[in-house]
Amino acid sequence: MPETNHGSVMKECRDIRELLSALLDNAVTAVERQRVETHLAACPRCREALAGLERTVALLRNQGEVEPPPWLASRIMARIADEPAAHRSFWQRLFQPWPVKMPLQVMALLVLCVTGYMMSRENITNVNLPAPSGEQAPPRPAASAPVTESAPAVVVPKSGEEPRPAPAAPSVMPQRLPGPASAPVSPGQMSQSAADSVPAPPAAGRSKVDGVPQFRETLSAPAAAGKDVRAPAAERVQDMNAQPQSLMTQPPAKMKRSDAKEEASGSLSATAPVTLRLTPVDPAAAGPAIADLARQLGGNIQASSTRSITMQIPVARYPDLLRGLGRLGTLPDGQEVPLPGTRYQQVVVIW
Amino acid sequence: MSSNMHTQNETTDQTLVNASLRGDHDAFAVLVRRYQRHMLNTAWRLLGDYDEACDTVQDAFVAAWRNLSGFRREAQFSTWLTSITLNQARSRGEQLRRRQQREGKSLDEQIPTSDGEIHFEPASAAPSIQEQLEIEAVRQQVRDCISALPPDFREVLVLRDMEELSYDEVGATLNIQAGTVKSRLFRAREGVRECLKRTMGAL
Repeated sequence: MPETNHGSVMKECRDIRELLSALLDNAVTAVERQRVETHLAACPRCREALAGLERTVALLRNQGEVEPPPWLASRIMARIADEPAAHRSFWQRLFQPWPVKMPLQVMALLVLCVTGYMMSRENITNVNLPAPSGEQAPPRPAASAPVTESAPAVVVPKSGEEPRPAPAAPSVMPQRLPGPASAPVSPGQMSQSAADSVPAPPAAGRSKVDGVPQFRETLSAPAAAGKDVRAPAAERVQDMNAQPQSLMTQPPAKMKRSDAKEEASGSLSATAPVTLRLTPVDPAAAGPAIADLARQLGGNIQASSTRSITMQIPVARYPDLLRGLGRLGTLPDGQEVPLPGTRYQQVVVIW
Repeated sequence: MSSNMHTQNETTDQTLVNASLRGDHDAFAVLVRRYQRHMLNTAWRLLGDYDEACDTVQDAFVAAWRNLSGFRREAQFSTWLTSITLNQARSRGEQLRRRQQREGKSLDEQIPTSDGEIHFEPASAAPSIQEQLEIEAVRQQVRDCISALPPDFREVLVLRDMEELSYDEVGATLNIQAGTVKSRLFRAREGVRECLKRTMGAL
């Protein structure tokens, strides 16, 4: 719009125009209002601008309104229903609403605790059994903690305990594993490998004679199984001279006499226990009867549980052991394999 | 919407927001019904298109639900919701503009007829509603002039002169100072005034 040729007037008009807008909203101070009114009285262009501004604002305020369509709110809520409470924090989503979720969560926690407790108990038994039942899963997480709790169960076989399902025997058949015999090792290597390989023989023999691998997995699980199974042998190797009587190994004197090869094979014989699977006539009485038999034959009970006994017997009495076991129940065929020339043999009887 | 309405509903809004935060859909539905009209009008004035405004309001409420935990208690819910609607409208407006540029369409598109001649879409108006049509024509002029404003000015103008928010409320919604509201409003009003003067001849 054309202005006068006075720059100061133009500037004054521009300042006033800005105040005109605020004047419509009563957003001016008293001083500003006075200044605007003074200017408007002398400036027809600014009066015209004010009129145009008032008309503009009136038109803006007269634009009318639109109504939301009736479906709008329900469509919004439908979309929000598809949003799974995304606006809530993780913890809110986890625990709220309290009245619904808390009881559920408490119950879930209880079930978890009870299940965990029962599993750990069951696992203890399994761990201590040299021959857990075939359907046993690999060691469970809770196994290691309560091992001590179950220690008595290893020593005292509870004959009254309910018979478990058919044991998955680690039946390394009474034939010797070819490995140790055919490959003599030096005494140094021998004791090392003897200690390390205690759990190994069943694994080595598995592919040949036994179709039940689960037992080996349990046996070779180092945390729990090794405690019971490996301990006697390892102890024997380490404390051979210190405590021969308790472990029923070769007498110290004999050990000293024997040459390296004989020592090796003797020690290794103990690391490769013969496992016998007995189907007893009376499972409840089998444990004590087998223990008696072993002692009668000059053997020594190394470990026992409700379903197995680990013993060390003179090799010469092995046929007697088989006969004695035959009286207590049924043994699979093919177990009367002659043993190599060692004096003592570790035998695990499982029923 | 007047500022009185805000104050009246402030407590209730907060209660409903709290319930919504606990996952109460019904509480949020009350907020939706309470503010959908205001949000729709704001979006419609900014975009100039009813259907687009409806979509914008839907998106805005869904965004509000998603971000409800980010709502600061010291702010008014309506202010917060309006600012979300403005953001949604702004991004939708940009999409619309890009689409229109791409497709080369304009509001007064000429319609090709079967005989190959170009006609303007006929106004089949009955004389009895002539007056209403004139009013609507002016309103359309005003909407076009608002659309021609830069978004910053358009938002201040819509909130102040059409939704009738106070300077403080406009500033809170747009997160700008009251002085900025004042100067943007002046420029926006001047822009519309000049635009209307150009298109309508006189004011």
